[in-house]
Amino acid sequence: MTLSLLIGLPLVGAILVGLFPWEKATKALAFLVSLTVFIFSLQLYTQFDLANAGFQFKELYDLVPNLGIHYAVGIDGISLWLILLTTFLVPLVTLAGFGAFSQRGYYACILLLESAVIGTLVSTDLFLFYVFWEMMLIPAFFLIGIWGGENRVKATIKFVLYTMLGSLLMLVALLYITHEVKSFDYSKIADHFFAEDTQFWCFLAFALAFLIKVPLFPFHGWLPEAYVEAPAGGTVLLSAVMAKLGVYGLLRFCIPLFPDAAKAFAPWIMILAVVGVLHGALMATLQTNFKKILAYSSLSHMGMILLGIFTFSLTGLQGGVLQMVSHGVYMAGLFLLVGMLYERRPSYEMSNFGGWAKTTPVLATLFLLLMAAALGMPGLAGFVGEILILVSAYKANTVLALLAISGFVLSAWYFFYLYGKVFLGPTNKKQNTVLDLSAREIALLLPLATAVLWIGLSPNFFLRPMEKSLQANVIERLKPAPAMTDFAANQRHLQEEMEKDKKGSR
Amino acid sequence: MTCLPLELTALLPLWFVVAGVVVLLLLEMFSKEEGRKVLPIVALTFLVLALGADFSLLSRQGMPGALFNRSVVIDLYSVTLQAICLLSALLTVLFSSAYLKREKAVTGEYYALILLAAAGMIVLVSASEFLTLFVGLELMSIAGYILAGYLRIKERSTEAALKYFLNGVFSSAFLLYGIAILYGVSGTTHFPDLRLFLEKNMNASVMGFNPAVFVQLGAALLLAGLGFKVALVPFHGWAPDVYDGSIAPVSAFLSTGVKAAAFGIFARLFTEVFGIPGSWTAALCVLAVLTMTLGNLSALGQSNLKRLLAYSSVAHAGYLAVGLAAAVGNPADSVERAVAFYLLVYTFMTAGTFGWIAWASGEGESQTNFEDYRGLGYRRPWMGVALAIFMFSLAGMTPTAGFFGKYFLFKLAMDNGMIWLTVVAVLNSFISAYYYLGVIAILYLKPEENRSFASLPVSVGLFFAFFLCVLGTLVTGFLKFPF
Repeated sequence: MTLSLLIGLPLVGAILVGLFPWEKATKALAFLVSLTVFIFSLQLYTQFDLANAGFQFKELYDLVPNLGIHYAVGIDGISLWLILLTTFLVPLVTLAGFGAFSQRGYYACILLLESAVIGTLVSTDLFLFYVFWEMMLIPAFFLIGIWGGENRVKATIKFVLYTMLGSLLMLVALLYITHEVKSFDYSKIADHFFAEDTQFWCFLAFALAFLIKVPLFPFHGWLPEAYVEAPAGGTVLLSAVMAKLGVYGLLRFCIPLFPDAAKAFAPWIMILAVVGVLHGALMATLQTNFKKILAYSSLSHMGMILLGIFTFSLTGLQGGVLQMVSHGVYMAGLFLLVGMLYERRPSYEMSNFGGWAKTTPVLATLFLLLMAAALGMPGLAGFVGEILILVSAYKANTVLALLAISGFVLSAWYFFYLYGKVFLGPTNKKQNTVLDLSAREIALLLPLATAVLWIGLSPNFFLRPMEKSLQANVIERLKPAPAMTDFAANQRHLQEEMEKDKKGSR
Repeated sequence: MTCLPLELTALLPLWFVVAGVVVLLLLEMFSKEEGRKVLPIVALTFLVLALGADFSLLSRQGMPGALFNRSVVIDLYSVTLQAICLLSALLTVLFSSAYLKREKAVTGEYYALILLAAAGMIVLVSASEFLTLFVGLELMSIAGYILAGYLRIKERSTEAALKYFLNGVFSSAFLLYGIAILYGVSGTTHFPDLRLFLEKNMNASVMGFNPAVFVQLGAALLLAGLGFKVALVPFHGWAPDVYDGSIAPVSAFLSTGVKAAAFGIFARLFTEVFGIPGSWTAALCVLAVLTMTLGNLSALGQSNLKRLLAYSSVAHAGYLAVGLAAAVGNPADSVERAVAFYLLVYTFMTAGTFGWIAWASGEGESQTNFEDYRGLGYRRPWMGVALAIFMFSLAGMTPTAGFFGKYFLFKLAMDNGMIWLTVVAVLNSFISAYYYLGVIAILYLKPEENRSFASLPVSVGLFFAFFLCVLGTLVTGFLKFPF
């Protein structure tokens, strides 16, 4: 029941927030609900069986039995941290909205989004997965479209259409797979052998949906606008939570279900990932709008994660997943800080700022800490994941790894440039009235700062639970299958033996 | 031999609706101005009774099957379709009562005509032979022609009625030719007999006479005739003008109930009768692709919500045609199930949207342009959310029922190996998402100061109707469908 409650609690919370008679109290209600969800989700870690590589906390009910649609959920070491990341960030996002938003709709949308994200991460039935995957779009559409900035409508429509195009093609692939396998069950589909052609097209359709969400380099057209126009909380959810789902989809579905196609596509995706790293970093250096700098840096860092994952080595995969968690934490912190700056002076242009380290020292310090984590400072969150990714990438392809490293040099450049422009330099007069962080704001940033240190100082705590699952659910599946004819013969042989066994046991 | 009580009880929904027509007309004759308030309530009562009769049929064990000398068939499919048509009539009455009061045009005939059309629909969807089909179709259509021109002082309304009438008569002629040819070649008008004839003789040639040619000609004429009724491209020319010109509650009725009934029987014909390999499969494929694509592309350019919805309704006929195109090779009942499910979902979301327009367009339906709804979402948050839910569902986004409806239809095409048709259908959903999302976005643009939405009242009946539509749009996908 744990996982169902994790999906259900935010959903019920969203309805309660929508119907609660006293609108002023809804934000507190939303915060309480999301905090409860977080505390509740901690038992996923405490009860997690480290020795088990398969799915845990499994639940299974029939939904539409004659079409083979089930409510089937379960988690393994890959989804564990992403769920905890989500439940950890949502209360902070809710709390961060207290200053700027008092409408119930905002908080209801955040909770709905949380429910859909958790649903996506725990579904082991592909139909259910698709339902949750698309359900995310509706609250995200409203978060950007209603509470966003000047060009919010254009940004949100672009974002939803990009994502929909990908997921609709995934739907076609899904229809085809279930037509062939006659089941939506993850493990049944994973054990099914698809022909080379089928693998190629299905991988393409699934990967497109996931790579748009990440996004990978040529599919990132929606990103700058959506990230900049969304309210601070919305940007956090987009970059720290929803982008991870794209990578999760690749890890959970694309690679294990279509291993041969994945191997064939891997070099191309690695090249595009490195292009994305460089493109994002170069674009970031050209911006004057600091939210856009962060948006492009997020794009650049997501490229790194993909690079690590498509090396298909344990180090690279572990680095990728760990980096997802740390990217989620430091990007959330940075975007929330940007939101706080915006609340103090409604602008994202660097030229309107300067010398804020003097007037708002606490804000500046926290910004520096999270920025250092993003830069990969040893001892902080970004470092471990990056090292693991770069080491494995270096083994796989030296040139790509070197290019990716140069992306990091650029990232130091634009981050320090940003910090210098906003926090250092001469102050202007009006600034004396600007207040430093309030107790609420410090309270919501401290957990993020702690997490950044924690991941940096004891990465093993995070790496251990995912190791077995990555090995069994990703790497093992990529091992070359016996040749096609042998495989078919093998299958037949196995079947015959099983039938014999059955008869024998009777 | 069939016994009389069964025949009576099996058609109980029809009797209730017809009784409602008589009562409404008598009330209109004898009641004074004050008495008109009860008219919608009377209409609702009879519709609810009829729906109740349908539900009791659905819940009983075993369906009556063929009745009245095999001219009518009462099975799960026809009862489900009856319920959908009655639901559409019910929603229309609820939307109309507030609308007609606002326009000061309350009459008994209006409600009587809606019930009369509903009676025609019940006959149509239960038909098991061509003459019953034709009688039901005409009963439904003639009532529909009058309803389309109900506000005869309005030019647009009159134009709509004339267009609808001329096209309707034209298509009926096609249909009759088709029926005549099929009768001429097979000697029967019963659907099951015709199927047997087709299975036996499609490939036979008797004395140099090849029945397949005539069967195909007959099928083509049927396709054209029914294509007009459900507005498949290229027979859709009338639809935008009629849905746009009629008063909004009538548009709701024409685009849901009338379409559901016509499509229901269309699906029965092309699964249970023509569900064998033949040239009509290719024709249906072409029609489906044309209808979806042209419907969606034309909807892209609209700036008027009512007209946009008219084109979207054309596009949705295309999605349904995808299911029909895949009819050969899939079991008849799985096709019928998918079609009936989609029609139910479509009724909830489209009737809801037309009802929404009836509510939001103000006196004389003067405000139906996108620009008129700027910022409505801020002033009337719940009504904004209602329209958003309808739009998400029309676009086929999860978890609304619109997604499940499309899924079942597209799955038929995929199971039949028509991958390209599925891809085209899915890409069309994508195009449609663009304009549906655009409508939602309008609601949340900066509000205009000159229009106040506070003056738009939501009466109890209207609230109930919207509640029903929203609930239906949200939960239908998760219900176990009756068959």
